[in-house]
Amino acid sequence: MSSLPSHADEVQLVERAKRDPAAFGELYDRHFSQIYRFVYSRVRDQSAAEDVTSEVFMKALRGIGRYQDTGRPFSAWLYQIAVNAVNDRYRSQKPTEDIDSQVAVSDRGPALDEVAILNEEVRQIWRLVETLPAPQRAAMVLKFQEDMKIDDIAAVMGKSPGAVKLLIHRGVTRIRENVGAAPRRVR
Amino acid sequence: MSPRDFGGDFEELDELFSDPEDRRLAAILTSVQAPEVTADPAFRSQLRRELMQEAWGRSERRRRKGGGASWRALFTPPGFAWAGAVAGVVMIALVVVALSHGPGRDGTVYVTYNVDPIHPVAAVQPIEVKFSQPMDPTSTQAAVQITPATQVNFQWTDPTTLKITPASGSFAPNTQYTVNIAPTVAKTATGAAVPAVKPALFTVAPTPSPVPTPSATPSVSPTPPAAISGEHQVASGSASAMAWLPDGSALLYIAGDGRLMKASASGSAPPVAVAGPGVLRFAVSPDGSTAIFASAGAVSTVGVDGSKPNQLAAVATLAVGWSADKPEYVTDSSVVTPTGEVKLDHALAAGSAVALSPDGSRLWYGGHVLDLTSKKVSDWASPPPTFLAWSPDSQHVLYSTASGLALAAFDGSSPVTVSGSVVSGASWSRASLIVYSGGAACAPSTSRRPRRTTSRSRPASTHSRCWRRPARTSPSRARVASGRPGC
Repeated sequence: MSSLPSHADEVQLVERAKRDPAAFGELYDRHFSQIYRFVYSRVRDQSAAEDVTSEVFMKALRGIGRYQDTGRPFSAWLYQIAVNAVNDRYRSQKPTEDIDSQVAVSDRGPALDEVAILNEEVRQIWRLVETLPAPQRAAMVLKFQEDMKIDDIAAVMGKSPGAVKLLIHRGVTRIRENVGAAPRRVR
Repeated sequence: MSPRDFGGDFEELDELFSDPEDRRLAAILTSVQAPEVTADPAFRSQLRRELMQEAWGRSERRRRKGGGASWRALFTPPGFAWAGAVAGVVMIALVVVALSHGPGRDGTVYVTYNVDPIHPVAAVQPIEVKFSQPMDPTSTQAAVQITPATQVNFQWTDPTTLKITPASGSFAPNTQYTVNIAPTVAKTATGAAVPAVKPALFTVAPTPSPVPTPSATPSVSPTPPAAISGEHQVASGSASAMAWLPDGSALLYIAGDGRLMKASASGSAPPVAVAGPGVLRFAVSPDGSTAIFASAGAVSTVGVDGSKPNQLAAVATLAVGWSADKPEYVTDSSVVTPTGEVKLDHALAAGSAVALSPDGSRLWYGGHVLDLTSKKVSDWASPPPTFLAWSPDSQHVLYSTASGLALAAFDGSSPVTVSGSVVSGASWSRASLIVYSGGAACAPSTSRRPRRTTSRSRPASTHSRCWRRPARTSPSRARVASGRPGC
């Protein structure tokens, strides 16, 4: 993982970006990949991910003048926009996946060697993450994929830290109930 | 997938999970990344360009607005006393300005350009100069100075917008240009002289190589893009994928809200919803009666008029298609064909480049081609090239490499480089081949939205650089459909 700039540096850059387009471009370069990855993990489609990512950065550009540093990473604000953009896009869509059927799907497949088995298990787990209700899924992705702190996730999702902990706890519990055999430890 | 360091938040996990099994599962999720997803570089740079244009436009507007705010501030109670004191000085200054700069009314004209110093432009891209108020064409054209000296043509698209095109058809590649408006020469429509404005500085990208024309074995064609006319809108909103019905009477597309829509080619009737929301991809059957479509956790078929929806399986898919008149789909570990399931030799990560051939007989997946009949896998060179399109007869693969556009037999044999063009996508039908380059030559817009779905009455059979995503030629070649980002 590459080293990140200090919070003070980031605050300075964000302040400059309010007036200087070039500074906003630098923010874009820093955060594009993680936002795109997060959005893709939610929409699972390249075209949709591109549309939503565009919307996120356009909204960020239009709203950066109102951004105020609260001590959280700037990325938390971008994630917040991304969560809302994804929710807006699929507001009328309800989760339709059945976890049991996903397990059945993942049970298919050729025999794999030791590494492949581990990879398959991880893939299976992430597939199950994708079948969780949207708030649980968002909290799980932000925590385990994006390495965010509970407090930051809470700010992104507009929930209390306790509520986020509950979402993650329920998500992990639900996955464990459905993953079948206990997963092997990663070394 | 790769192991990674966790940022020291194991305490949070310990606090969250008292059950050791839960902790172990959380540790797995934490220690191994989800499948890596990489954005299309063309998309990334295109979005950056659009953001920068929007940002500079906003900056310019803010600057203008800021001037007004300062002026208003003079009349706030604390500033009012000072206003009186400086009023005399200001009036004297105004007289001096009026005498030296002519009869300008507000004296200020702002200019923006569609180019910037950072992003190279295509050699054929016109330079657009946008003035903040209507201009006098003759004096303004006389004021335009281009370095290095270049013969240009002028076109006013409206009283405030001047388009500058090189008389030879293109600027010199790999060359830095400056466009300047000579101070006091250009005049507004009301006769006010324009003082010094900021010049435009830009660099022209290397000349793109010719692109192939559609044929079984594409060849280099220097033919410029065909002119396009007769464009008409058939639906509003965005469209992320499109396909014509075989008879060319209508096209299907995925709307911005994720619904699969059907729009008549003539635009005579409003589009109708066929399925969704949540549609990720789809394919139309060869007879045009049915579509197979995928959502996040299911694959289904539906009549193109929205009738007879039928879920085939509750499974996440990477691609859908047709084998003869039977639906076919690809999961991360197998291809489900009309005759049975064909296992892949390795599991695919989400977002993998996967493409079923038009006849449903072969599958491209990450540098391998699986023949679904013989079950034989052909391995391409490693690292695999970027897949662009199957040939209409399913025998060849069009792909891009660092050296340009290339074509090879489906098993990777007989590769031929057909162009040095940098191409980011392609749509190849029996009617035409359209390649697109990520919108490099697209006229810039300040916003990607609204995007329109249009059909065009003449085919652009050679190529279009204006479309970031595939445009689709109708079967009769009478029309080209494109959801375009406002260019």
